[in-house]
Amino acid sequence: MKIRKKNKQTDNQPDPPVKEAIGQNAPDAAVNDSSQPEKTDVATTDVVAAGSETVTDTKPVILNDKVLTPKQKRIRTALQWIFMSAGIIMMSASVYFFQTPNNFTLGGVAGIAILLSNVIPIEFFSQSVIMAIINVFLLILGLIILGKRCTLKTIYCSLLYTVIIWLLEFTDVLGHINSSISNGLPSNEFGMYTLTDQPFLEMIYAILLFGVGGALVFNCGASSGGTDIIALILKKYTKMNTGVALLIIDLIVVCVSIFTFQSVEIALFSFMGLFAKSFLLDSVIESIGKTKYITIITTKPDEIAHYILDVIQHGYTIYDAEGGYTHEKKKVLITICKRGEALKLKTKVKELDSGAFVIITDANEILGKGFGGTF
Amino acid sequence: MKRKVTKNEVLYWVVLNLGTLLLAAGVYFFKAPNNFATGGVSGLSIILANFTKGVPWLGQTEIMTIINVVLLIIGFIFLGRGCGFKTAYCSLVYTGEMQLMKLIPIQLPLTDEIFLEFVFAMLLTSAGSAIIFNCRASSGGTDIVALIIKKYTKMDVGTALLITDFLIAASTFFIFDIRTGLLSLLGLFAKAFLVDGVIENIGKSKCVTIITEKAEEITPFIIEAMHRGYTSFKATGGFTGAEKTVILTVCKRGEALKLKMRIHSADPAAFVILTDTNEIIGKGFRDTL
Repeated sequence: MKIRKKNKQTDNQPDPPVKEAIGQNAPDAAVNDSSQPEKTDVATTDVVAAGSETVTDTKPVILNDKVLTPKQKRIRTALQWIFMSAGIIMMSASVYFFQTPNNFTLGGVAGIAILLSNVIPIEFFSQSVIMAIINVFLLILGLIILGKRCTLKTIYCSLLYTVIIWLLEFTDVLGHINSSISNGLPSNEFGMYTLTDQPFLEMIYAILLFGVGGALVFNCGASSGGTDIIALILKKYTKMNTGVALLIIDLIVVCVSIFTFQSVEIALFSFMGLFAKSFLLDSVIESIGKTKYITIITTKPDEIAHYILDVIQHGYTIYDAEGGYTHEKKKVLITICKRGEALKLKTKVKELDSGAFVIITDANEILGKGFGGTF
Repeated sequence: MKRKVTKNEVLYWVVLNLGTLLLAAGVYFFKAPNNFATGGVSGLSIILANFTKGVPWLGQTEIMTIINVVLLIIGFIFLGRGCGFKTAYCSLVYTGEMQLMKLIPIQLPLTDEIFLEFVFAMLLTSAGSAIIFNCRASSGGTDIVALIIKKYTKMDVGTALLITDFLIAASTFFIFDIRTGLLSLLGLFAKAFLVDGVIENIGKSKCVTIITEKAEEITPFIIEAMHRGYTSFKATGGFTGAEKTVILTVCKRGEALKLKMRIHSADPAAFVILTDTNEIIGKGFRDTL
């Protein structure tokens, strides 16, 4: 399910000349490549002066790791559980209000349950009951096979997800909404009440809530259980690419739904939703951890360096350079920081050295001290 | 003393007027007929117009004009010159254009495809807002309220505006119907992304890093043909150990293409990295602050 877009921006521009340059210069290119990460590594690991430069401030750098006090840790954990619950509520709302009434199957256990509840004629096996059975079964399976790796967070999310959907269905929220507004809700060909008469609009909400909610849960290091447990089991015992495996399961569910509902419209919506969800999930996860890569070309590096170290509390890499037009001696500072910090740094640099040249780009993936490990 | 009007100034006002026209068209043809209240003064006027249906001389455009003019007057009282001539101009032209559009004798809404109307409403108003914003002007309305709040309190203006917009959009659930509510709420979020996207694209430049052994053949091109500066530093190739020069420069997208071609003919072995950059501070580029 994870179609990672490594570098959204740089992806669309390896035009022929660059590619050829890489091709013809293979050993060099590879090496240049490997020298690049080294630099950025340095930027985030330690305050190291590249070249002959000595950094004026040689305080021990504990700043990068930002050691958390127990209180901060507790707040962080509490926040994680809140975000996780919010994510699950969004996912449940997506399933109950937008997916089920329109028979959209966006994959996962919810999709399978929508399908099965339409196939099985027994009244008792409603969507939420089927979902509960599958989810609990998968959880037990996960606990047996995966043991500790099937974490408390996943158990919590999976159960909360099931309970909320069951509650919504049990209390018949849509029915109440229907009777509380004067004109009543429109109902579709399957005899279900839908919030609007616009399936496309409902599809967008289904994807948005499901994608954003899923990303929130994922970012807290949890999962909503269900097919993710199957993926983990597959990962443990086979060498299969679990992303592909999950996508195949979801595709099978959607394909079966074509025959069950006998409606091309629903099938097309489901296919669209499946892919849109994957992209949205990835881009939300990517943008949560997004950081800025800042290059500052300046003649007054000392003050700026001080500010980066003491106020923003990040490391940096510095090297000598020469202005192309003026042939003036300059310093280049490279650092990586969060978006808010980048804004502060930008303002400060302008104040300290109005002649400085600052380039800010998005950095999508960073390895090194003080960064990474968003999962 | 006579001031000469430059070509750039004319272009600036043409672009600014285009922005207000897009905004007015989006609100008049698509937002108001479908009750898409995605926040702001236009959203507020759409909701208020629903309560004054019995009064023929008090439609959506009239309410909007009244609110905007009142806000402008308040703005001038509290902010003085800080309110800005451009804001007053945009605000008045915006509402004026809507009054003129009322004279066009067509049946609204234009289609019965509500989602299509929604897409056009969001595209037109977002593009218009982005253009006006990029001209460092504002269409008045809630922006004036924000400026006043900013001047007298320490409140976070962005959050305050977002909450107001959210309340306006959410109220459509109860005043109109669920469909309108869902669309208005979606529009509120879509607007934020669209405006940001358009503004980012307008200012987008390429940051070019060139690793080469023939710097002297590439640098004259950057300075003489492209009229850009660059920064260079010495480096060593990791595999060959050869002395190399790293050239760092920033230019517009079109220029980057030319530079790439030039590098390719001057030094086919050069290694070139291009990245998108949306914020640059320094000589020759737009100041984002």
